Amino acid sequence: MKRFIGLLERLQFSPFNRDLPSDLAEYMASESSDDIAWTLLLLSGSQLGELLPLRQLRQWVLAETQLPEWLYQECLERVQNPAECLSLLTDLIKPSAGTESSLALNEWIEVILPFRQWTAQNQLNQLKIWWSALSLAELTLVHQLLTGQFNARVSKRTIELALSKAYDDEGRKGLAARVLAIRTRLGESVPMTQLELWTCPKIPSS
Amino acid sequence: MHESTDRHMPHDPKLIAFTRTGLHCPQGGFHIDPSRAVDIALITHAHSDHARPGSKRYLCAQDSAGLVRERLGPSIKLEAIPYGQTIELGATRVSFHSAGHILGSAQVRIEHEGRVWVASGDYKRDFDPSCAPFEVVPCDTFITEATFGLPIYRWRACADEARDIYDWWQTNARQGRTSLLYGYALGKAQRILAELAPLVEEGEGDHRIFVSDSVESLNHHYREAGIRLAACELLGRDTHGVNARGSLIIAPPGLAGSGLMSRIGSDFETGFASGWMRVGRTRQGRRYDRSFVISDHADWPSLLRTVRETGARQVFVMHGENDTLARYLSGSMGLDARPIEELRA
Repeated sequence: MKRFIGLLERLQFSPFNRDLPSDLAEYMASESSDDIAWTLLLLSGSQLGELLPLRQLRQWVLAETQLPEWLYQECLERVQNPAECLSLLTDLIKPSAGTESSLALNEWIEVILPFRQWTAQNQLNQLKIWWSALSLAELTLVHQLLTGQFNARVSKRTIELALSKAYDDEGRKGLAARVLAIRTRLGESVPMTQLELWTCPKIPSS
Repeated sequence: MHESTDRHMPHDPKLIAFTRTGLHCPQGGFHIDPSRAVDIALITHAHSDHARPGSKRYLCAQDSAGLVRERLGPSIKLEAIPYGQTIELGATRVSFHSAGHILGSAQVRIEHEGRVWVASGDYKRDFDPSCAPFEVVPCDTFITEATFGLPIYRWRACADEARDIYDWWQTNARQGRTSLLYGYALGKAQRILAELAPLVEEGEGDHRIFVSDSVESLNHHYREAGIRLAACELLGRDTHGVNARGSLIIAPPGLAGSGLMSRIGSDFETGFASGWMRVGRTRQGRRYDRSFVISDHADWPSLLRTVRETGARQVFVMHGENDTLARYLSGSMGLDARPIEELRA
Protein backbone atom coordinates (compact mmCIF):
# COMPACT_ATOMS: atom_id res chain seq x y z
CA MET A 1 0.00 0.00 0.00
CA LYS A 2 3.02 2.27 0.40
CA ARG A 3 3.20 2.84 -3.37
CA PHE A 4 -0.51 3.58 -3.58
CA ILE A 5 -0.14 6.17 -0.84
CA GLY A 6 2.83 7.66 -2.68
CA LEU A 7 0.69 7.86 -5.81
CA LEU A 8 -2.12 9.54 -3.88
CA GLU A 9 0.29 12.15 -2.51
CA ARG A 10 1.51 12.80 -6.01
CA LEU A 11 -1.95 13.05 -7.53
CA GLN A 12 -3.44 15.23 -4.80
CA PHE A 13 -0.66 17.51 -3.65
CA SER A 14 2.07 17.95 -6.29
CA PRO A 15 2.35 21.10 -8.43
CA PHE A 16 -0.30 21.46 -11.10
CA ASN A 17 2.21 21.21 -13.92
CA ARG A 18 3.30 17.67 -13.06
CA ASP A 19 2.68 14.91 -15.60
CA LEU A 20 0.08 12.89 -13.71
CA PRO A 21 -0.71 10.46 -16.54
CA SER A 22 2.96 9.46 -16.64
CA ASP A 23 3.04 9.06 -12.85
CA LEU A 24 -0.05 6.87 -13.02
CA ALA A 25 1.36 4.87 -15.95
CA GLU A 26 4.62 4.36 -14.08
CA TYR A 27 2.67 3.07 -11.09
CA MET A 28 0.74 0.70 -13.36
CA ALA A 29 3.97 -0.65 -14.79
CA SER A 30 5.18 -1.89 -11.44
CA GLU A 31 2.09 -2.95 -9.52
CA SER A 32 0.03 -6.15 -9.67
CA SER A 33 -3.05 -6.15 -11.88
CA ASP A 34 -5.24 -6.55 -8.78
CA ASP A 35 -3.75 -3.41 -7.24
CA ILE A 36 -4.12 -1.51 -10.50
CA ALA A 37 -7.75 -2.57 -10.84
CA TRP A 38 -8.51 -1.40 -7.32
CA THR A 39 -6.57 1.80 -7.87
CA LEU A 40 -8.59 2.66 -10.96
CA LEU A 41 -11.87 1.84 -9.27
CA LEU A 42 -11.06 4.06 -6.28
CA LEU A 43 -9.66 6.95 -8.30
CA SER A 44 -12.69 6.96 -10.57
CA GLY A 45 -15.11 7.40 -7.69
CA SER A 46 -15.97 3.94 -6.37
CA GLN A 47 -16.33 3.40 -2.64
CA LEU A 48 -16.32 0.21 -0.62
CA GLY A 49 -19.52 1.37 1.00
CA GLU A 50 -19.94 2.47 4.60
CA LEU A 51 -18.24 -0.40 6.40
CA LEU A 52 -18.13 1.64 9.60
CA PRO A 53 -20.28 4.72 10.25
CA LEU A 54 -18.20 7.85 10.64
CA ARG A 55 -20.03 8.79 13.83
CA GLN A 56 -19.04 5.44 15.38
CA LEU A 57 -15.40 5.94 14.42
CA ARG A 58 -15.51 9.47 15.85
CA GLN A 59 -17.05 8.25 19.08
CA TRP A 60 -14.36 5.60 19.53
CA VAL A 61 -11.50 7.95 18.69
CA LEU A 62 -12.73 10.62 21.10
CA ALA A 63 -13.19 8.03 23.85
CA GLU A 64 -9.68 6.67 23.28
CA THR A 65 -8.02 10.09 23.10
CA GLN A 66 -10.22 11.58 25.84
CA LEU A 67 -10.78 14.68 23.76
CA PRO A 68 -14.05 16.60 24.02
CA GLU A 69 -16.43 16.83 21.07
CA TRP A 70 -16.05 20.62 20.79
CA LEU A 71 -12.29 20.24 20.32
CA TYR A 72 -12.85 17.68 17.57
CA GLN A 73 -15.07 20.23 15.83
CA GLU A 74 -12.34 22.86 16.11
CA CYS A 75 -9.88 20.45 14.54
CA LEU A 76 -12.30 19.44 11.82
CA GLU A 77 -12.72 23.06 10.85
CA ARG A 78 -9.00 23.18 10.17
CA VAL A 79 -8.65 19.77 8.50
CA GLN A 80 -12.01 19.64 6.68
CA ASN A 81 -11.71 15.89 6.08
CA PRO A 82 -13.23 13.86 8.99
CA ALA A 83 -11.35 10.62 8.30
CA GLU A 84 -8.03 12.46 8.15
CA CYS A 85 -8.91 14.51 11.23
CA LEU A 86 -9.55 11.35 13.24
CA SER A 87 -6.25 9.87 12.05
CA LEU A 88 -4.40 12.98 13.16
CA LEU A 89 -6.04 12.76 16.58
CA THR A 90 -5.17 9.08 17.09
CA ASP A 91 -1.54 10.10 16.63
CA LEU A 92 -1.81 11.47 20.18
CA ILE A 93 -2.10 7.95 21.59
CA LYS A 94 0.42 6.35 19.26
CA PRO A 95 3.58 5.22 21.04
CA SER A 96 5.77 5.91 17.99
CA ALA A 97 5.39 7.29 14.48
CA GLY A 98 4.05 3.97 13.18
CA THR A 99 5.31 1.97 10.24
CA GLU A 100 4.20 1.33 6.70
CA SER A 101 2.36 -1.94 6.35
CA SER A 102 3.87 -4.52 4.01
CA LEU A 103 0.43 -5.45 2.66
CA ALA A 104 -0.43 -4.56 -0.92
CA LEU A 105 -3.49 -2.40 -1.63
CA ASN A 106 -5.65 -5.35 -2.70
CA GLU A 107 -4.61 -7.29 0.41
CA TRP A 108 -5.59 -4.36 2.60
CA ILE A 109 -8.97 -4.16 0.96
CA GLU A 110 -9.48 -7.88 1.56
CA VAL A 111 -8.84 -7.19 5.25
CA ILE A 112 -11.20 -4.22 5.33
CA LEU A 113 -14.13 -5.51 3.29
CA PRO A 114 -15.61 -7.89 5.91
CA PHE A 115 -15.32 -5.21 8.63
CA ARG A 116 -19.06 -4.54 8.68
CA GLN A 117 -19.78 -8.14 9.68
CA TRP A 118 -17.55 -8.05 12.74
CA THR A 119 -18.86 -7.47 16.25
CA ALA A 120 -18.42 -3.96 17.59
CA GLN A 121 -15.87 -5.21 20.11
CA ASN A 122 -13.80 -6.88 17.40
CA GLN A 123 -14.01 -3.76 15.26
CA LEU A 124 -12.75 -1.61 18.11
CA ASN A 125 -9.97 -4.05 19.00
CA GLN A 126 -8.77 -4.07 15.40
CA LEU A 127 -8.93 -0.28 15.17
CA LYS A 128 -6.82 0.07 18.30
CA ILE A 129 -4.15 -2.11 16.71
CA TRP A 130 -4.18 0.00 13.56
CA TRP A 131 -4.14 3.24 15.55
CA SER A 132 -1.00 2.20 17.35
CA ALA A 133 0.81 0.58 14.44
CA LEU A 134 0.07 2.32 11.15
CA SER A 135 1.68 5.41 9.72
CA LEU A 136 -0.46 8.53 9.54
CA ALA A 137 -0.96 8.35 5.77
CA GLU A 138 -1.89 4.70 5.89
CA LEU A 139 -4.30 5.16 8.76
CA THR A 140 -5.97 8.06 6.98
CA LEU A 141 -6.54 5.85 3.95
CA VAL A 142 -7.91 3.03 6.10
CA HIS A 143 -10.28 5.45 7.86
CA GLN A 144 -11.42 6.82 4.50
CA LEU A 145 -12.06 3.38 3.03
CA LEU A 146 -13.89 2.17 6.14
CA THR A 147 -16.22 5.14 6.31
CA GLY A 148 -16.83 5.53 2.59
CA GLN A 149 -15.03 8.90 2.65
CA PHE A 150 -12.26 8.15 0.18
CA ASN A 151 -12.21 11.26 -1.97
CA ALA A 152 -9.09 11.27 -4.15
CA ARG A 153 -10.10 11.57 -7.78
CA VAL A 154 -8.36 11.89 -11.09
CA SER A 155 -9.97 12.95 -14.30
CA LYS A 156 -11.22 10.51 -16.91
CA ARG A 157 -8.70 12.07 -19.28
CA THR A 158 -5.78 11.34 -16.93
CA ILE A 159 -6.83 7.71 -16.62
CA GLU A 160 -7.25 7.37 -20.36
CA LEU A 161 -3.79 8.82 -21.03
CA ALA A 162 -2.21 6.62 -18.38
CA LEU A 163 -3.87 3.52 -19.77
CA SER A 164 -2.71 4.33 -23.27
CA LYS A 165 0.86 4.75 -22.01
CA ALA A 166 0.88 1.58 -19.93
CA TYR A 167 -1.20 -0.91 -21.93
CA ASP A 168 -1.75 -2.27 -25.39
CA ASP A 169 -5.22 -3.56 -26.38
CA GLU A 170 -4.60 -7.00 -24.93
CA GLY A 171 -3.40 -5.50 -21.69
CA ARG A 172 -6.53 -3.36 -21.45
CA LYS A 173 -8.71 -6.38 -21.88
CA GLY A 174 -6.86 -8.20 -19.15
CA LEU A 175 -7.25 -5.24 -16.81
CA ALA A 176 -10.95 -4.94 -17.66
CA ALA A 177 -11.40 -8.60 -16.77
CA ARG A 178 -9.81 -7.95 -13.38
CA VAL A 179 -12.06 -4.97 -12.76
CA LEU A 180 -15.16 -6.94 -13.68
CA ALA A 181 -14.06 -9.88 -11.56
CA ILE A 182 -13.76 -7.62 -8.54
CA ARG A 183 -17.15 -6.09 -9.21
CA THR A 184 -18.82 -9.41 -9.74
CA ARG A 185 -17.42 -10.77 -6.50
CA LEU A 186 -18.50 -7.69 -4.57
CA GLY A 187 -21.98 -7.52 -6.04
CA GLU A 188 -23.55 -4.20 -5.19
CA SER A 189 -20.94 -3.07 -2.74
CA VAL A 190 -18.98 -1.30 -5.49
CA PRO A 191 -21.13 1.09 -7.51
CA MET A 192 -21.03 1.13 -11.29
CA THR A 193 -18.40 3.25 -12.93
CA GLN A 194 -17.45 4.01 -16.47
CA LEU A 195 -14.19 2.22 -16.00
CA GLU A 196 -15.07 -0.75 -18.17
CA LEU A 197 -15.74 1.54 -21.09
CA TRP A 198 -12.27 3.04 -20.79
CA THR A 199 -10.48 -0.23 -20.38
CA CYS A 200 -12.37 -2.40 -22.86
CA PRO A 201 -15.09 -0.76 -24.96
CA LYS A 202 -16.44 -4.12 -26.09
CA ILE A 203 -17.60 -5.06 -22.60
CA PRO A 204 -20.96 -3.50 -21.74
CA SER A 205 -21.04 -1.22 -18.72
CA SER A 206 -24.14 -2.77 -17.14
CA MET B 1 3.67 29.17 44.73
CA HIS B 2 1.06 31.85 44.48
CA GLU B 3 -2.45 30.54 44.14
CA SER B 4 -5.37 32.56 42.90
CA THR B 5 -8.96 31.47 42.64
CA ASP B 6 -10.37 34.92 42.07
CA ARG B 7 -10.73 35.41 38.32
CA HIS B 8 -10.37 39.19 38.72
CA MET B 9 -7.39 38.95 41.03
CA PRO B 10 -8.06 42.23 42.93
CA HIS B 11 -5.02 41.69 45.16
CA ASP B 12 -2.77 40.35 42.42
CA PRO B 13 -1.89 43.19 40.08
CA LYS B 14 -0.83 42.12 36.65
CA LEU B 15 2.85 42.10 35.87
CA ILE B 16 2.08 42.18 32.17
CA ALA B 17 -0.60 43.97 30.20
CA PHE B 18 -1.54 43.15 26.63
CA THR B 19 -1.48 46.48 24.82
CA ARG B 20 -1.65 47.57 21.20
CA THR B 21 2.14 47.68 21.30
CA GLY B 22 2.36 44.13 22.65
CA LEU B 23 3.23 42.79 26.10
CA HIS B 24 3.98 45.61 28.52
CA CYS B 25 5.32 45.35 32.06
CA PRO B 26 4.42 48.60 33.86
CA GLN B 27 6.37 47.71 37.02
CA GLY B 28 9.53 47.16 34.95
CA GLY B 29 8.92 49.89 32.39
CA PHE B 30 9.59 47.63 29.41
CA HIS B 31 7.87 45.82 26.54
CA ILE B 32 8.41 42.30 25.26
CA ASP B 33 8.67 41.95 21.46
CA PRO B 34 6.88 45.28 20.91
CA SER B 35 5.16 45.87 17.60
CA ARG B 36 6.19 49.52 17.62
CA ALA B 37 9.11 51.60 18.83
CA VAL B 38 9.31 51.84 22.65
CA ASP B 39 11.85 52.92 25.26
CA ILE B 40 12.94 49.47 26.39
CA ALA B 41 12.32 46.38 24.25
CA LEU B 42 13.06 42.86 25.47
CA ILE B 43 13.43 40.65 22.40
CA THR B 44 12.68 36.93 22.75
CA HIS B 45 14.25 36.03 19.39
CA ALA B 46 15.28 37.50 16.05
CA HIS B 47 12.31 36.56 13.84
CA SER B 48 10.89 39.66 12.20
CA ASP B 49 7.50 39.42 13.92
CA HIS B 50 9.27 39.61 17.29
CA ALA B 51 12.31 41.83 16.67
CA ARG B 52 11.25 45.14 15.20
CA PRO B 53 13.28 48.31 14.64
CA GLY B 54 13.02 51.75 16.21
CA SER B 55 13.19 51.19 19.96
CA LYS B 56 15.63 53.22 22.07
CA ARG B 57 17.10 50.33 24.03
CA TYR B 58 17.08 46.59 23.40
CA LEU B 59 17.81 43.63 25.64
CA CYS B 60 18.02 40.01 24.51
CA ALA B 61 19.67 36.72 25.40
CA GLN B 62 23.39 36.70 24.70
CA ASP B 63 23.13 33.90 22.12
CA SER B 64 20.62 35.98 20.19
CA ALA B 65 22.62 39.21 20.00
CA GLY B 66 24.32 38.52 16.66
CA LEU B 67 21.05 37.62 14.97
CA VAL B 68 19.19 40.58 16.46
CA ARG B 69 21.90 42.94 15.18
CA GLU B 70 21.78 41.20 11.80
CA ARG B 71 18.07 41.94 11.65
CA LEU B 72 17.90 45.39 13.27
CA GLY B 73 21.26 46.81 12.27
CA PRO B 74 24.61 47.25 14.02
CA SER B 75 23.78 50.67 15.46
CA ILE B 76 20.98 49.64 17.82
CA LYS B 77 21.62 50.02 21.54
CA LEU B 78 21.64 46.37 22.60
CA GLU B 79 22.42 44.65 25.87
CA ALA B 80 23.08 40.92 25.63
CA ILE B 81 22.30 39.00 28.81
CA PRO B 82 23.44 35.39 29.40
CA TYR B 83 20.67 32.86 30.00
CA GLY B 84 19.73 32.77 33.68
CA GLN B 85 21.44 36.03 34.68
CA THR B 86 19.15 38.36 36.58
CA ILE B 87 19.04 42.09 35.91
CA GLU B 88 16.92 44.78 37.49
CA LEU B 89 14.50 46.79 35.39
CA GLY B 90 12.35 49.28 37.26
CA ALA B 91 10.92 47.46 40.26
CA THR B 92 11.32 44.02 38.68
CA ARG B 93 14.01 41.38 38.42
CA VAL B 94 14.23 39.99 34.89
CA SER B 95 16.08 37.07 33.32
CA PHE B 96 16.16 35.27 29.97
CA HIS B 97 15.81 31.49 29.75
CA SER B 98 16.24 29.26 26.75
CA ALA B 99 13.09 28.65 24.70
CA GLY B 100 14.47 26.05 22.27
CA HIS B 101 12.84 27.81 19.30
CA ILE B 102 15.91 29.02 17.35
CA LEU B 103 19.45 30.05 18.26
CA GLY B 104 19.31 32.47 21.20
CA SER B 105 15.54 32.29 21.63
CA ALA B 106 14.39 33.09 25.13
CA GLN B 107 11.55 33.12 27.57
CA VAL B 108 11.37 36.17 29.79
CA ARG B 109 11.05 35.64 33.55
CA ILE B 110 9.77 38.61 35.56
CA GLU B 111 9.79 38.70 39.35
CA HIS B 112 8.07 41.38 41.36
CA GLU B 113 7.20 41.33 45.08
CA GLY B 114 7.50 37.56 45.29
CA ARG B 115 5.42 36.81 42.23
CA VAL B 116 6.82 35.31 39.05
CA TRP B 117 5.47 35.65 35.54
CA VAL B 118 7.04 34.01 32.52
CA ALA B 119 6.38 34.98 28.90
CA SER B 120 7.36 32.06 26.72
CA GLY B 121 7.89 33.78 23.37
CA ASP B 122 7.95 31.07 20.70
CA TYR B 123 9.24 27.73 21.96
CA LYS B 124 9.50 24.02 21.36
CA ARG B 125 10.46 20.98 23.43
CA ASP B 126 11.83 18.69 20.70
CA PHE B 127 15.53 18.10 20.20
CA ASP B 128 17.19 20.63 17.94
CA PRO B 129 20.94 20.45 17.26
CA SER B 130 20.99 24.13 16.28
CA CYS B 131 19.97 25.69 19.60
CA ALA B 132 19.89 25.21 23.35
CA PRO B 133 16.98 23.15 24.73
CA PHE B 134 13.92 24.67 26.38
CA GLU B 135 14.29 25.37 30.09
CA VAL B 136 11.29 24.81 32.33
CA VAL B 137 10.95 27.93 34.51
CA PRO B 138 8.60 27.53 37.48
CA CYS B 139 6.18 30.44 37.74
CA ASP B 140 2.84 31.65 39.04
CA THR B 141 1.62 32.91 35.68
CA PHE B 142 2.72 31.54 32.34
CA ILE B 143 2.07 33.27 29.03
CA THR B 144 2.31 30.56 26.42
CA GLU B 145 2.33 30.70 22.66
CA ALA B 146 -0.18 28.49 20.84
CA THR B 147 0.77 28.60 17.17
CA PHE B 148 -0.05 24.90 16.85
CA GLY B 149 -2.54 24.74 19.70
CA LEU B 150 -4.75 22.01 18.26
CA PRO B 151 -4.42 18.28 19.00
CA ILE B 152 -4.01 17.49 15.30
CA TYR B 153 -0.46 18.82 15.57
CA ARG B 154 2.07 16.33 16.84
CA TRP B 155 5.59 16.19 15.46
CA ARG B 156 7.71 13.23 14.42
CA ALA B 157 11.33 13.39 15.46
CA CYS B 158 13.04 15.96 13.27
CA ALA B 159 15.88 13.52 12.62
CA ASP B 160 13.36 11.23 10.88
CA GLU B 161 12.11 14.07 8.71
CA ALA B 162 15.71 15.02 7.92
CA ARG B 163 16.35 11.44 6.83
CA ASP B 164 13.34 11.73 4.50
CA ILE B 165 14.74 14.99 3.10
CA TYR B 166 18.09 13.31 2.53
CA ASP B 167 16.53 10.29 0.80
CA TRP B 168 14.33 12.52 -1.39
CA TRP B 169 17.33 14.63 -2.38
CA GLN B 170 19.54 11.64 -3.13
CA THR B 171 16.81 9.93 -5.19
CA ASN B 172 16.45 13.11 -7.22
CA ALA B 173 20.22 13.50 -7.52
CA ARG B 174 20.64 10.03 -8.98
CA GLN B 175 18.29 11.12 -11.76
CA GLY B 176 20.14 14.37 -12.31
CA ARG B 177 17.26 16.30 -10.78
CA THR B 178 17.64 19.25 -8.41
CA SER B 179 15.85 19.34 -5.05
CA LEU B 180 14.56 22.77 -4.10
CA LEU B 181 13.60 22.83 -0.44
CA TYR B 182 11.76 25.82 0.94
CA GLY B 183 11.94 26.71 4.61
CA TYR B 184 12.21 29.87 6.69
CA ALA B 185 15.64 31.46 6.36
CA LEU B 186 16.19 31.89 10.09
CA GLY B 187 15.99 28.81 12.28
CA LYS B 188 14.36 26.27 9.99
CA ALA B 189 17.13 26.34 7.37
CA GLN B 190 19.87 26.03 9.99
CA ARG B 191 18.07 23.26 11.86
CA ILE B 192 17.81 21.27 8.64
CA LEU B 193 21.46 21.93 7.82
CA ALA B 194 22.44 20.77 11.32
CA GLU B 195 20.33 17.62 11.00
CA LEU B 196 21.77 16.90 7.55
CA ALA B 197 25.39 17.34 8.68
CA PRO B 198 25.94 13.76 9.94
CA LEU B 199 24.00 12.26 7.00
CA VAL B 200 26.13 14.13 4.49
CA GLU B 201 29.35 13.21 6.25
CA GLU B 202 28.48 9.52 6.50
CA GLY B 203 26.74 8.92 3.18
CA GLU B 204 27.94 8.82 -0.39
CA GLY B 205 26.57 10.60 -3.44
CA ASP B 206 26.03 14.14 -4.64
CA HIS B 207 26.18 16.10 -1.42
CA ARG B 208 26.33 19.63 -2.77
CA ILE B 209 24.03 21.97 -0.88
CA PHE B 210 23.33 25.52 -1.98
CA VAL B 211 21.58 28.17 0.05
CA SER B 212 20.08 31.54 -0.79
CA ASP B 213 21.61 34.87 0.27
CA SER B 214 19.14 35.20 3.12
CA VAL B 215 20.05 31.78 4.56
CA GLU B 216 23.81 32.27 4.15
CA SER B 217 23.74 35.66 5.87
CA LEU B 218 22.40 33.96 9.00
CA ASN B 219 24.43 30.73 8.86
CA HIS B 220 27.64 32.29 10.09
CA HIS B 221 25.98 33.30 13.36
CA TYR B 222 25.25 29.63 13.97
CA ARG B 223 28.78 28.56 13.05
CA GLU B 224 30.20 31.23 15.36
CA ALA B 225 28.04 29.77 18.13
CA GLY B 226 29.67 26.39 17.52
CA ILE B 227 26.71 24.80 15.73
CA ARG B 228 27.78 22.19 13.18
CA LEU B 229 25.99 22.84 9.90
CA ALA B 230 26.31 20.78 6.73
CA ALA B 231 28.74 22.41 4.29
CA CYS B 232 26.92 24.60 1.79
CA GLU B 233 27.64 27.13 -0.92
CA LEU B 234 25.92 30.36 -1.81
CA LEU B 235 23.54 30.41 -4.74
CA GLY B 236 22.63 34.02 -4.54
CA ARG B 237 21.44 36.82 -6.72
CA ASP B 238 24.99 37.52 -7.88
CA THR B 239 26.13 33.92 -8.27
CA HIS B 240 26.68 33.00 -11.90
CA GLY B 241 27.93 29.94 -13.76
CA VAL B 242 27.06 27.47 -11.00
CA ASN B 243 25.82 24.06 -12.03
CA ALA B 244 23.34 23.18 -9.30
CA ARG B 245 21.92 20.14 -11.12
CA GLY B 246 21.43 17.27 -8.68
CA SER B 247 22.08 19.41 -5.63
CA LEU B 248 19.90 20.39 -2.69
CA ILE B 249 18.96 24.07 -2.60
CA ILE B 250 17.56 25.56 0.60
CA ALA B 251 15.75 28.86 0.25
CA PRO B 252 12.87 30.74 1.92
CA PRO B 253 9.40 30.32 0.40
CA GLY B 254 9.45 33.90 -0.88
CA LEU B 255 11.98 32.89 -3.51
CA ALA B 256 9.49 30.70 -5.39
CA GLY B 257 9.20 32.18 -8.86
CA SER B 258 12.22 34.46 -8.39
CA GLY B 259 15.35 34.67 -10.49
CA LEU B 260 16.79 31.77 -8.54
CA MET B 261 14.32 29.45 -10.21
CA SER B 262 15.49 30.39 -13.68
CA ARG B 263 19.05 29.32 -12.94
CA ILE B 264 18.42 25.75 -11.83
CA GLY B 265 16.96 24.44 -15.07
CA SER B 266 13.62 22.80 -15.59
CA ASP B 267 14.24 19.42 -13.99
CA PHE B 268 13.68 19.92 -10.29
CA GLU B 269 11.31 18.96 -7.51
CA THR B 270 10.09 21.25 -4.77
CA GLY B 271 9.67 20.52 -1.08
CA PHE B 272 8.49 22.57 1.86
CA ALA B 273 9.45 22.13 5.50
CA SER B 274 6.74 23.40 7.85
CA GLY B 275 4.50 22.19 10.63
CA TRP B 276 1.50 23.45 8.66
CA MET B 277 2.12 20.73 6.08
CA ARG B 278 0.82 18.10 8.46
CA VAL B 279 -2.71 18.72 7.21
CA GLY B 280 -3.70 17.47 3.74
CA ARG B 281 -5.78 20.53 3.00
CA THR B 282 -2.69 22.72 3.43
CA ARG B 283 -0.58 20.43 1.26
CA GLN B 284 -3.30 20.56 -1.36
CA GLY B 285 -3.31 24.34 -1.30
CA ARG B 286 0.47 24.82 -1.35
CA ARG B 287 1.29 22.28 -4.07
CA TYR B 288 4.84 21.10 -3.43
CA ASP B 289 6.19 17.76 -4.62
CA ARG B 290 7.12 16.82 -1.08
CA SER B 291 6.16 18.05 2.36
CA PHE B 292 8.29 17.68 5.46
CA VAL B 293 6.54 18.33 8.74
CA ILE B 294 9.18 20.22 10.69
CA SER B 295 8.25 22.96 13.11
CA ASP B 296 10.16 25.11 15.55
CA HIS B 297 7.03 25.57 17.65
CA ALA B 298 5.63 23.34 20.38
CA ASP B 299 3.13 20.74 19.23
CA TRP B 300 -0.05 20.01 21.21
CA PRO B 301 1.46 17.46 23.63
CA SER B 302 4.42 19.78 24.25
CA LEU B 303 2.14 22.75 24.98
CA LEU B 304 0.20 20.77 27.60
CA ARG B 305 3.34 19.28 29.09
CA THR B 306 5.02 22.67 29.35
CA VAL B 307 2.08 24.37 30.99
CA ARG B 308 1.93 21.50 33.49
CA GLU B 309 5.66 21.54 34.21
CA THR B 310 5.85 25.27 34.92
CA GLY B 311 3.45 24.70 37.82
CA ALA B 312 1.61 27.88 36.82
CA ARG B 313 -1.88 28.26 38.23
CA GLN B 314 -2.71 30.98 35.81
CA VAL B 315 -2.09 30.77 32.08
CA PHE B 316 -2.56 33.24 29.25
CA VAL B 317 -2.49 32.06 25.66
CA MET B 318 -1.27 34.01 22.64
CA HIS B 319 0.13 33.73 19.09
CA GLY B 320 -2.41 31.32 17.65
CA GLU B 321 -5.17 29.15 19.01
CA ASN B 322 -5.74 31.42 22.00
CA ASP B 323 -9.38 30.59 22.72
CA THR B 324 -9.10 26.88 21.95
CA LEU B 325 -6.07 26.12 24.08
CA ALA B 326 -7.31 28.31 26.94
CA ARG B 327 -10.66 26.54 26.90
CA TYR B 328 -9.01 23.12 26.98
CA LEU B 329 -6.59 24.06 29.78
CA SER B 330 -9.53 25.36 31.81
CA GLY B 331 -12.05 22.65 31.09
CA SER B 332 -9.85 19.57 30.97
CA MET B 333 -6.83 20.48 33.09
CA GLY B 334 -8.53 22.62 35.72
CA LEU B 335 -6.28 25.64 35.21
CA ASP B 336 -7.18 29.30 35.29
CA ALA B 337 -6.42 29.77 31.60
CA ARG B 338 -7.54 32.60 29.34
CA PRO B 339 -6.76 34.10 25.97
CA ILE B 340 -4.23 36.91 26.09
CA GLU B 341 -6.92 39.41 25.13
CA GLU B 342 -8.12 39.24 28.75
CA LEU B 343 -4.85 40.87 29.78
CA ARG B 344 -5.77 43.94 27.80
CA ALA B 345 -4.87 47.12 29.64
